Amino acid sequence: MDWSVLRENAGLLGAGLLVTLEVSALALVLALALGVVVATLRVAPSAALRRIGTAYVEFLRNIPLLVQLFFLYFGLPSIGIRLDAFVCGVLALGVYSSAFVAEAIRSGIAGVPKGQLEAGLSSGMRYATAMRLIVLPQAITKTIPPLGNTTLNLIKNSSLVSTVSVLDILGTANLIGARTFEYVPMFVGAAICYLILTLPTAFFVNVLERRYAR
Amino acid sequence: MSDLSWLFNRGTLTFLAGGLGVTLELAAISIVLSFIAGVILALARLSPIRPLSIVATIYIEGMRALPVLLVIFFSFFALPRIIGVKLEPFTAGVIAMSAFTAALVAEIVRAGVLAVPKGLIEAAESQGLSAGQIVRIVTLPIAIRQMMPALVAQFVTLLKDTSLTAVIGILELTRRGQIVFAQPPFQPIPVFALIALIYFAANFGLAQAGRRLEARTL
Repeated sequence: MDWSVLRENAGLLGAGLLVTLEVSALALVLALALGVVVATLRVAPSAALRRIGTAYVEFLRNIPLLVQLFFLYFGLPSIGIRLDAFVCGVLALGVYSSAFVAEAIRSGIAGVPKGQLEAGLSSGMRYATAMRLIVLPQAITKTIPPLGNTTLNLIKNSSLVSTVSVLDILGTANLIGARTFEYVPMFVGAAICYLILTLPTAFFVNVLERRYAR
Repeated sequence: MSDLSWLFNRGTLTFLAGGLGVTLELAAISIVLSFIAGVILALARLSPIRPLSIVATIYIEGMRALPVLLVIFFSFFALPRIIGVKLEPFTAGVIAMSAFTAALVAEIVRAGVLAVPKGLIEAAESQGLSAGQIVRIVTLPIAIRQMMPALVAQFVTLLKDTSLTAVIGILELTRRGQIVFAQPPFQPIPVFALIALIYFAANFGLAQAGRRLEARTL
């Protein structure tokens, strides 16, 4: 084992870290936006909307992310839609994670006592207004721990983009490992890169959790 | 797209069913191994022996902070260079899935054990039950009841994650799907739709089985 390979390629690994960060950040924005919409479907007063929301969540949660990613990357070109590997990665990761975001928000909303919504409605608010002003602000504090976990999983799952040749942390480590046969140092380096991203996130989530767990 | 006889014929379907078999085998072995290792890790972390507890904590927290795909690659490409033995893809896959999931199972088990109220154990002690009886009659039934939903969710995740072992060449369901669509008529969408349905059914079945088990332990 030649550990100097790690020092020589630290710059490339650093560039990979930035790609991982970029994929994760973009996918997180997408996941939050879609997740909020789907969560509102899941608690909507209409049964048909609720069913659509449930189908979305169950469908995405029970199919491996890799299959969804391959579907976008290998499947879409066959019907004439050709997307960049990076875009496929962000889309697949964002949509997959949105199901978990939706579940986190839904359980947060379910944790707000029903009387709160009813009180809003009985004082003349419309459903959407009561949700926005009364229920959602209370739900947000309850969704922080599960949302934090979803974010952590999203960062870790972003490593799957390496399977469609995006040079994120894992893709870079794999490429250099294959070229030099120094897999051990490269994967240890990759592990350190992931720890740099996930440990502070986990710490931050814990702090938030403690602050809002009252 | 109209004629799907290239996909829905005996040869192709048997090939894919074999892939599902490999997926289930990989998942089943990893579930058993990760459960055993997870319980041991949880007990080690809860142990009053400091060094043991510290080692278990580092393993659990470190593993949880890493992507499972990295663990799979490490197990296949790097581990053989450390132990000096070449590993078959399937073996490397089992090692990776078990080693990774064990850390998550350990946290579930730990939470389950910690959730048993102290008063119940003290009550059992004051009634003259032996330590073994307390574990068997009081601690375990309550802890297991507490753990079941999280454990089932974790094993559903494991079943989904076995798809990642396609990248080290294990001929499980996803890999075989890739092989099928790489042949004429080169149509990935029907193949992925079928595979997605199979995973969905397998996960749904696993979740249902877990729910039934839960109902029985309650």
